[in-house]
Amino acid sequence: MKTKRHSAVQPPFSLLAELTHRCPLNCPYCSNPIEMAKEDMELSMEEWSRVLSEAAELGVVEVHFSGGEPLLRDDLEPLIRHAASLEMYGNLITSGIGLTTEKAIRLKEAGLANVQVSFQAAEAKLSDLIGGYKAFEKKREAVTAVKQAELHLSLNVVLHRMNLDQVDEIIQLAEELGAERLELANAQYYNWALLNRENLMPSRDQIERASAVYEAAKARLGRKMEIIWVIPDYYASAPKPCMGGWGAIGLTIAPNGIALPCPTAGMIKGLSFEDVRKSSLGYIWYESESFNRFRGEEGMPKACLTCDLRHQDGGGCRCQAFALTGDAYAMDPVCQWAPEHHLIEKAVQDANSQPVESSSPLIYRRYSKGPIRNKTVIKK
Amino acid sequence: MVVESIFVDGSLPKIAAKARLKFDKVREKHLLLLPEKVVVLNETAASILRLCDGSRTVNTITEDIRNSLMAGSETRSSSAVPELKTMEADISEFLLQMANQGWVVIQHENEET
Repeated sequence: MKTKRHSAVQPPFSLLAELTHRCPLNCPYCSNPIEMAKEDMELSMEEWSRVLSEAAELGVVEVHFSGGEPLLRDDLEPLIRHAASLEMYGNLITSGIGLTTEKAIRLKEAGLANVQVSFQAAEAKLSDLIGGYKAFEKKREAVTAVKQAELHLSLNVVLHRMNLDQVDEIIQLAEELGAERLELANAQYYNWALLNRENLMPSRDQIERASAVYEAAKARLGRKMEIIWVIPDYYASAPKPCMGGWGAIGLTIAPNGIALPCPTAGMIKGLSFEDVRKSSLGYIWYESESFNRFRGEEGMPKACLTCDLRHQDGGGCRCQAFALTGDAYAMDPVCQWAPEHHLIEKAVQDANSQPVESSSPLIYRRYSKGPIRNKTVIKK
Repeated sequence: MVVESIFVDGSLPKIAAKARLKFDKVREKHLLLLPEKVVVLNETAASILRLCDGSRTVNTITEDIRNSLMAGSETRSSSAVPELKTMEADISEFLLQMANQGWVVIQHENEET
């Protein structure tokens, strides 16, 4: 294989460890791939332990244990303990399903530093509809468990057309539950969210109202609760830089051991990714073709190279370019100068003209082989 | 002045429970690890934060830092080390910034912890 080492590559800070794609929830905006890794392909505890050791040696200092639902792995506790023994900051990203007080206390003792519990909405009815599972009360119980274990609690809420008008109530819920941090991130349109974009894309009015609620809450809460607000990039003035840059700050390991320069990179067809069962993390990070492909300015579309905004947006998101145009080398359509920017304009226009209730049904995330992929064609 | 209103006598700064201090051998830097954030610290910041364990007052922290500076500068003239008052004001200012970020919490001697 042809390899090159990018001279400016710095060690990674973080590892997103997707322990499994199995999940009790079926959220229609899930960032997991349409085609998921089956349970029998999942890395073993020994393999994950080795990956964590290699990651620490490489410079990773934060590990996000995620999924799917990481609590479905019965080796989560020893893996957290191993990460802590390597002085890595352990963060659990969970739906909360299955998190009892006893378990939370054990995970804390193992060295876990932070827990992020996802919420779908401010109340049970909408929450359970979005998640496709009666999860709301279980989530409240999980949050109580986190608080009883005296772990730092973050609430993560993915925002979209169906719950954006509840932002005020969501913030109140987070306060009531004693969250120290609340992440309000609008859905990004990849994988499942892209399939459901028509149902999920909010109108400009919704974004503006919710944004005002956020600003007021932020001013009111000050140090009491940290609130993060991320708008969907379809409404942003410029593309977002890809997770701080392709293979720049952190890496993702999928349940089957595939190493990705960003959590969604696996969707780019025609790009092959390394397997941690076969290659060392050091090789993957510094030498591999896939991690070097879009690094720095060499990886940018030609038109970006003469644009001053490239220092801010890094040439946009390669996954989004691929998802919307079929070409990972194309300009990110969110960019106002991109030849395919009309795709974004059309989506925004549709979101602002259609009635609140969309006619097409929600496609729930399914843990399956996913023959559905052939349907991920973008309507023009 | 704001600094004085938060650091009354007996203030005990402590690294927030969510934060972890670490010396990173790969980068050869002191880091403050937080949920979704890594802060790269300089030597001075790290040496102050290391002392923020909830058992020392700002005054004690300042004396500790100053003593180690003095010990390190024995061969030079002692005037190279700033006055205690000046250092305490600087360290208070720094800790106030840390507290505003939520990375350090300020406890008080009389409080239950």
